[in-house]
Amino acid sequence: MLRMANLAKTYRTDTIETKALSPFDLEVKQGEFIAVVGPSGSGKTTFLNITGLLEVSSEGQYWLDGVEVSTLGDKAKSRLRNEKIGFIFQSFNLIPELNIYDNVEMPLRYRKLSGAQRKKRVEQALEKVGLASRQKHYPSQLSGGQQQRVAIARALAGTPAFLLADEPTGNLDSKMAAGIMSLLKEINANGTTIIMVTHDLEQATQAGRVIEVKDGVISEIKNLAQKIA
Amino acid sequence: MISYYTKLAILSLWKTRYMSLLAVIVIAVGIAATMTTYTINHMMTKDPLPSKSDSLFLVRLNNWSPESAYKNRDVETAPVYLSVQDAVNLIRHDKAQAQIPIAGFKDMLKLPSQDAVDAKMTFVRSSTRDFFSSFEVPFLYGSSWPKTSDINGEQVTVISKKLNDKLFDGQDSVGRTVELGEHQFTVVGVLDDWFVLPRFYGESTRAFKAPRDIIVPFQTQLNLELWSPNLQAFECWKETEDASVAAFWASECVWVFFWVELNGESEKRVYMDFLNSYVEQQKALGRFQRPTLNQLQSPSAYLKERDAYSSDSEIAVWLAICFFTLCLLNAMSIIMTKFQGKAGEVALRRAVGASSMDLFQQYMIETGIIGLLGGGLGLLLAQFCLFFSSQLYTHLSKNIMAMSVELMVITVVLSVLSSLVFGLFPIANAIRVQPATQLKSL
Amino acid sequence: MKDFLPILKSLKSNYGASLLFIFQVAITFTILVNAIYLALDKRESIARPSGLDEQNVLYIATNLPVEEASQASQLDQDLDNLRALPGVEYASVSSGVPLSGWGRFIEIATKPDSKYDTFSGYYGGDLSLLKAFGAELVAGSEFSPSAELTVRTDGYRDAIDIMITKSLAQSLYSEQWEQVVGKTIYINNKPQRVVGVIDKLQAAWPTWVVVEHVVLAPVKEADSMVYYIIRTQPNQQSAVLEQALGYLTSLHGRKIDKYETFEQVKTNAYSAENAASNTLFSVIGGLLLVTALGIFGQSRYSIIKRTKLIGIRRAMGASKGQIVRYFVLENAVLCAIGIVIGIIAAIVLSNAFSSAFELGTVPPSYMFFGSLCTILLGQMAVLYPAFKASQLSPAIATRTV
Repeated sequence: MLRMANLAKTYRTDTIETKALSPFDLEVKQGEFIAVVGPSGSGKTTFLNITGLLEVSSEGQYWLDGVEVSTLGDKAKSRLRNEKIGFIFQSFNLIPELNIYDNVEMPLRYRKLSGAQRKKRVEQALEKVGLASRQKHYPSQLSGGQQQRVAIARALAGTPAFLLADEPTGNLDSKMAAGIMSLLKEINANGTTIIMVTHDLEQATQAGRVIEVKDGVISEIKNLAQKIA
Repeated sequence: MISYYTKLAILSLWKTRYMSLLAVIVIAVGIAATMTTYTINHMMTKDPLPSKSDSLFLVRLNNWSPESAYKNRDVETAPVYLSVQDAVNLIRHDKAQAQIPIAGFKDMLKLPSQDAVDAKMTFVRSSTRDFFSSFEVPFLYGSSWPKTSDINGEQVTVISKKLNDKLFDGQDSVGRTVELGEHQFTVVGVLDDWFVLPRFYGESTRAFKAPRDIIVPFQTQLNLELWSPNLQAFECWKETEDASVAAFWASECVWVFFWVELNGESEKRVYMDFLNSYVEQQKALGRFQRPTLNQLQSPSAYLKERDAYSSDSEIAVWLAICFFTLCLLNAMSIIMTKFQGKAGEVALRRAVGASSMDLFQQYMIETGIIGLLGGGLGLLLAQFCLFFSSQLYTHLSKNIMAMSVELMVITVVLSVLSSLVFGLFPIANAIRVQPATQLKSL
Repeated sequence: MKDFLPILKSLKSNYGASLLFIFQVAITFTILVNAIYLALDKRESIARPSGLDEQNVLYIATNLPVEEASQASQLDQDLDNLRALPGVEYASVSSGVPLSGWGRFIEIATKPDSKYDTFSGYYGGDLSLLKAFGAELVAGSEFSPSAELTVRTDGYRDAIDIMITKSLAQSLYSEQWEQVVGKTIYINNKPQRVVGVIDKLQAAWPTWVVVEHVVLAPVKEADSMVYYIIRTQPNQQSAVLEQALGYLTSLHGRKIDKYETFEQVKTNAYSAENAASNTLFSVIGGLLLVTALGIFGQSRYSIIKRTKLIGIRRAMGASKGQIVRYFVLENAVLCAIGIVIGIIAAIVLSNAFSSAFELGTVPPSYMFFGSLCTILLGQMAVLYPAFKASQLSPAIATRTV
C-alpha cells in the first residue's frame, strides 16, 4: 500500500544543514494500524508530513499505491491527498465560520461530485462518528471530543486509503481520548489503514505496529507492551 | 465550484468585515476620484456629434483689411466668423446640404399676458431651419419652421423644453406667442431634452455651456435689426458708415459663425470650388483685398485651434489615476493582512487536497467581490462627487457632470479588474504558505 | 543608531510589505507635491490684485435711449446725475470692465509703422475713470481736462493722451519704465502720448497672458450700450445701486442690461480657477487621509505580526522608549526611501505636466516641504501603533503565539 525506500529529509539554510530524518525504509500494508512514538523534536511530524505529501523528502523514493510521488507536481499531489489520504490533527483544525456539514464536505468539494453524492457521503461519515444530528451546528458549539469526531468524519468523507493522525487525542481529556481511540480502532477494523503519531505509550500499545523516531532515526519497536511493563 | 467559492468568500468577508470594509472604502474612494475626473474630462473632450463630425464644416473667408492681416499673425489666417453680407450670400447661393449660420442677440422675454417687470433678459440663438436637422435636435412638439420663414424672416421661434416648462407648464405650446423685446414670435416647435457637448458651433469660450433656450430665424434677426453688441464677440477693421444696426449689417465686421453640411470628399471639393469662385466674384466688386484663405474646418479642428479644451481636467485625471493607484496599494496591504490570517485555512485546504489553483480561484473570487463592492460604492460616491462638482463648477454646463451607462459599467469593471491585479501579490503570498508549518498551531 | 541594522534586516526579510509601504509613500509624495503646486498656482492667479478698489466698485450696463445726435449729452447728463447720488465717490463711463470679459484689446508698438511689440487691454472713459476704478498713479500725472474727448466707438483711434500700466511700461522699456512718461507709443499704428503710469490695473480677460497690460484713455464712447462704473463710499454699495437703477430706469426706453459689483465680477472670472483649486485641495485631503490610514494600518499589522519579537526584546531588557524608537525609526527609514523615489517621480511627473500642459515645473522648495510633510505624516500615523507596541507585556515572549 505504501513503500518508502532510502527516504531522508535534510533542511538547508544558507549556512546550516540539519538532518531531520536519516535514510530509512518502510513498508505499510493495507489495513495496518501503526503508531509513531518518540520525544518532541525527534522528527515525528516531519515523517508524517512526508507521508501525507505535505513535504517532499530530500532523498529516496516513496510509492503510494504503486505511484512514485516524489516527482509529482502540485496538482497531482493535491489530487492524491484528496483521494487517498485523510488527515486528523491534534487541534482538530475545523473552520470556525463553516458549520459541521460544510466542514465535513470540504474535501469532497475538490472532487467532481454532484451535490446529492456529496450529501450522501457527508451523512455517512457523520453517521460513522455518531454526529449525524449535529450537521447545522458550528464547531464552537461542540465539545473537544465532538470536534475531533467531526475532523475524523471529514477525513473519512473522502473514503481515503489511509488516515494520518497527528496526536489526535493530545488536546482531549482521558475520557474523550478513549472514545476517539475506540473510534479509530473501529475504523481500522473496517479496513482503513491508520498511521498515528502519539506521545501516549498506552495508546501506542493498542496499535498493530509501533515505530519510534529518535533524533531523526526511524526504527521499529517489537513488543512495546512488554517494554513498558 | 464558483458558487462554493462565492459562499466561502462571503463567509470570509463577513469574518474580517472591518478589514474588508476598509478595503472596499479605500477602493471606492480611489475609483470615485478617477471616474469623477474622467467623466468630466470625457464629457468635455468627446466628439459632440459623432454621426456628423465628418460632414460639418466651419466656413472661413478672409475679408480682412487690405492694410494688415487678421490679428497680425505671422501665419495669416482667416477670421473664424463671417460678415453678415457673406453669410446672407452663402445662404442665398444654397450650395451645401445644409447652411447653418450661428448668430444671436439678447432681449427681454415674456408672455404677452405678463407684466413688463416679469420679463427676463434672455439669450436668443438665431440660425436657419438646417440648425435642427444638421445638429440632430430632437423635437417634443411641433417641428422646425418652414423654409419660407428663413427666406422671409418670419417671427417664429422654437423653444427648449426647459423654457416651455417655465412659460407654458410643459403644455404643447405650438401656436402660442412669446414676446421678445417689442416683437411677438409664434412658437412652431418645442425641443426635447437636448444638449451638445462640447457646444462646438459657437464661441469656443462658451463651449461648455448649455444651448440657448430660444431659437429664431437668422433672417428675422436681420430684418428686425436685433443686435446686442455686448453679447456676441465681433471684430471690425473699418468703422461702420454710421451707428445704425443696418450699417453694421452692411459692414465688413465679422461675427456670424457659418457651418455647412457636406457629405463626402466630392461635395466638399465642389463647395470649396464654389467658395473660391464666390470670393473671386467679390474681389471683382472691390472686397477681399487680401490673399484668399478659404477654409472648411471640422468641429474638432476648430475647437482645438481655439484652445477650447482646458488642460485642468486632463491634469485632474492624471492626478486621480495616481491617487487611485495609491488607494489600490493601500487596499493591497489590507488584503495582504487579511490573507495573512488565512495561513491556517490555506494549510488545511491544501492538506485535504485543494491544489494551489483551487485556492487561487477561491481568493480571486473573494478579492473580486471586494472590487465589485468597491466599484459599486465608488459609483455612488462618484455620483455624489459629480453632483458636488456641478455645484462647484458653475462655469460649466451641468450636463457635463453626468455619467453615461457605459461609464458606469466601466467604473465597476475597472474596479474589479484593478482589485484582481492588485490582489495577485497578496494571494500568491498567501497560498505559497507551507501547509506543514501551519497545521500544528492552527 | 544601534537599531539601524536590525531595521534594515527586517526590511529585507519582509520586503513585500516594505516595498508596498515605500510605494505608497512615494506616490503620496508625488501627488502631494504636484497637487499643492497646481492648487497654489491657481490660488495665486485668483489673489492677484486687480488694481481696483474691489469692495466699492460696481458697474451698470445700459443703453442711451435717445437719438444718435444727443447720445453724448445724455451720457454726460447720466454721469452728472449718478455723481450727485448720496454715497457715490466717483462715477464714470468705461468701454470695458476689468475681468468681466467685456473690453477691447489693442496692439502696442514703440516705433511707428512697425509690427506690434505686445498686446494690451484698453479702457476709454472720462477724466475720472482712474479714480472710479480706484487705481493709483506711480509716475507722471493725471489727464489734463482738455484731453477729454467723446466719440461714438473705438476711442483708442482718437485718443491723444494715454496712461499705461507699470507692467506694460516694463514690457516696453524694462528697467527704464519710468521714462515712458512723455514718450509717444503707437496703438494700432496711431501715435499717442503717455502722460502717466498706473501702478496696477487688469484687462478684461482673467486668463490672458498680458492681463496686467492696460491702456487708459480719456475718450468717452457714447455708443448704443454704455458701462457706468460707480465707486461708492464704504458699505454704500447696495444703497447706491438701488438709487442708481432708480434714476436710470426713470428715463423712457431705458434698458438695464446687466449690473454687478466688482466682487461678483471677480468671483465669476475665477470660477474655473476656484473650482479647480478646491478640487485639488480635496484631492490632497483625501490623499493625506488615505495615506495616514494606510501607514497606521500597516504599522499596526507589522507590530501585531512581531508581537512575540517585541516581547522577547522587552524580556531582554529593552525599555518602552526603545521599542517606540525602533518603530518610529523604522517608519522614518521607509518614508525616507519612499520620498527619494517620490522626488524622482515628482520631477518626472512635473516635467511631463509642464511639457504637456504648459505649466511651470515644481520648484525645489516644494520638494523640501513636501518631504517634511510626508515624514511628519508618517511619524504621526506610526505613533499610536508604536505606543501600543511598547505597552506589550514582556510575558508574551514565553507564550507561544
